Amino acid sequence: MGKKKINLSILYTVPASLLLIMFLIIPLIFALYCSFYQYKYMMQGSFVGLANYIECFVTPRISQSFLITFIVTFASTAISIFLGLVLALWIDRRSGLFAYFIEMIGLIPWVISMVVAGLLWRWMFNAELGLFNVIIRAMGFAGVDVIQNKTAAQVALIFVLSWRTIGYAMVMILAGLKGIDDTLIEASHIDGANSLQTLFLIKLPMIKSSVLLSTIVLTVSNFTNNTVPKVLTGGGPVNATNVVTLEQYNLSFVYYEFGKSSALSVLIMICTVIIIACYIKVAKYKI
Amino acid sequence: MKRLLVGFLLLLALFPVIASGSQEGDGKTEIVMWTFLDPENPSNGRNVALKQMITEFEADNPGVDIIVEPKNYATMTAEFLTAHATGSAPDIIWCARDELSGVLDAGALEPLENLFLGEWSEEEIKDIDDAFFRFGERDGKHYTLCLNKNALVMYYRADLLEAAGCDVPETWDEILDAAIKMTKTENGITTYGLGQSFPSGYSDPQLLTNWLIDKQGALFDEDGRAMWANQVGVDGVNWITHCIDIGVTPEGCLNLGTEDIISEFSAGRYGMFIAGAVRIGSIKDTCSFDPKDVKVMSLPGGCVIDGWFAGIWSGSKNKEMAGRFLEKMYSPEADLLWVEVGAQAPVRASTLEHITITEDNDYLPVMLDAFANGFITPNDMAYAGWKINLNEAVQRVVGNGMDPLEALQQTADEFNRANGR
Repeated sequence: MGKKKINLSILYTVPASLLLIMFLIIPLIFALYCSFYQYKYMMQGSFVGLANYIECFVTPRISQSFLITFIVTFASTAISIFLGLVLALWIDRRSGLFAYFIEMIGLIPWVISMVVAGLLWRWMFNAELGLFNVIIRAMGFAGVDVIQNKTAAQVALIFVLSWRTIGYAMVMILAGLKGIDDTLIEASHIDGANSLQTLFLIKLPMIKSSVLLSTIVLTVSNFTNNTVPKVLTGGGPVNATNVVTLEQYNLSFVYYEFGKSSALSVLIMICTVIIIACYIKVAKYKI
Repeated sequence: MKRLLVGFLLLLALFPVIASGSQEGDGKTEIVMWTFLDPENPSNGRNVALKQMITEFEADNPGVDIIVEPKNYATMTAEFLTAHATGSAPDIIWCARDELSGVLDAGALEPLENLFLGEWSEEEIKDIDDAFFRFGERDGKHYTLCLNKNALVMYYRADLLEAAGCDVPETWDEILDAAIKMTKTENGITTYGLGQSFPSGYSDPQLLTNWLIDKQGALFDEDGRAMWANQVGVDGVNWITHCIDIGVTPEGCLNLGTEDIISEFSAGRYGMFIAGAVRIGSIKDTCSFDPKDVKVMSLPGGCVIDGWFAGIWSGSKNKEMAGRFLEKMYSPEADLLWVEVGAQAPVRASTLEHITITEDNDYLPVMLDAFANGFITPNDMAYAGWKINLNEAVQRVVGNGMDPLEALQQTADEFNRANGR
């Protein structure tokens, strides 16, 4: 009779699973629980059912903030992915120190603190003393008070979110491009494919996974980003950049409505799950 | 080998539990305090004063460590409430005025009579008995002591005011007149007579608050409902929009925060602006002009008064020792230290006897007048978000062209709904 084999593989997952349960699953369940109660000043009140969710839906400034969030998220993610792809394709054709240098430069905005980045750009956009307006005026144009103008502030927020994530998209997509077997490219050339055909018929389908993963990561990152909007525009002027995470912040830390902010958190989570599901469906990605 | 591996994995899984600290490890008692001050950062006089108090207290009480965990002032109270709910709050907490009502409702603070206040003589109580002391009272017990009295005053540049040929303004018309005369453009850079800020985020109360207090005496009615959607409020909003229309306040004020406006004043961009009087030390330290020209004045109708209220967490295992440190921070010697090193206003009447008003601390009479006659929200119920609500009324009028009364009504409704009125 042989010894009964012990499957140790489950034990290997224990530390990571415990961390996930402690820091992800339990808070998630607790937030869901809180969302069904009145929770003013962290004091559990009466059970209110779906009232917190209904209030989120019927409050105009929350629905408006969702709209702003969707616009800002999709615009900044689209710009990041497009420019990241262009840069990745460009760098893929280069090698050596130059390519390494560009990759490092591109990643700096992603790795620096979001607070620092937000403050940096806030000062750059300052109406009279900021570098942006100094340059604009030196070119003979009238200065723009970027952070104080509703449309300009929205554009500025999209710009800064894109600036922050282009490097990440570039590196992820570049990793996908480096993984393509050279023989496939050579074969396409032998078959008479030009550069565009190689790009659209060979390279892009082969890097679909890395583009999709980058898109998912950046969409979720931009959708749930609280720091950059808070530091850069503070949601203003006149709520023009009041993204949903700022609304959630105010519900929690200004009005102490933890029940409502929990309901809003759950709604934000549902939105991100739906967005991810849509991406996977559209890209026909197999999990 | 397998047993060893399993043991190692279990040890790894239990690491967070094993590694977690104890409040009384190594035979030492640790008193944890959350505040926005950082005693390890000597760039601020208040930090230096706190550091000295901690050093003295630890020397007088061997075996006791005061651990200060600096926190963001905007979220510190919310963090405390969360920590209270989960049983992991610090021993000493500094609460913002607007949030104190909620903290008391949550039963998160220990009555100070149970710790040290019950032993104080009537004379000692009389020395601290003012609006701030009474603000921390509920049902006959005191839960907090105000360690950081503040008044929202008007800062001004004495040199610009003198150059404009104006006296220190006292009425709304005089403020507007001085602002007009101080506004000038040189080398493409404009100095605005009156800096104002109306952000959606954290902000100090702005002139609309003072207008309402001056003209109708209060911001809220007896039931705690907003009382600004009326003709007085409309006149106040119109006064502000007039300042923007004639260019004495920049249009960009809609999205400036308190820190922005302080930085810009220090850079020489404004003649006057509103901020907490306790900031005067750091403003003088960083301004690009002669610091002696930084002065403060009261506002028509009196100033809004504010403060940070320190209390002992009701769940603390070291209440007595924490109470002793709070008492130390409130002692006559500490009060003098807060004033002389930290550029704060005294919390004890007796401290005033030791202070001579000079050019360096001529802000003190303005602060003391504000404490005696200023406006403070009651602590009987929550008044969360009213500063943002008033700012947003101005935003909607200036930014969206909304009718002032409609904007004020909308924000009053938002305030009432958010505070359960």
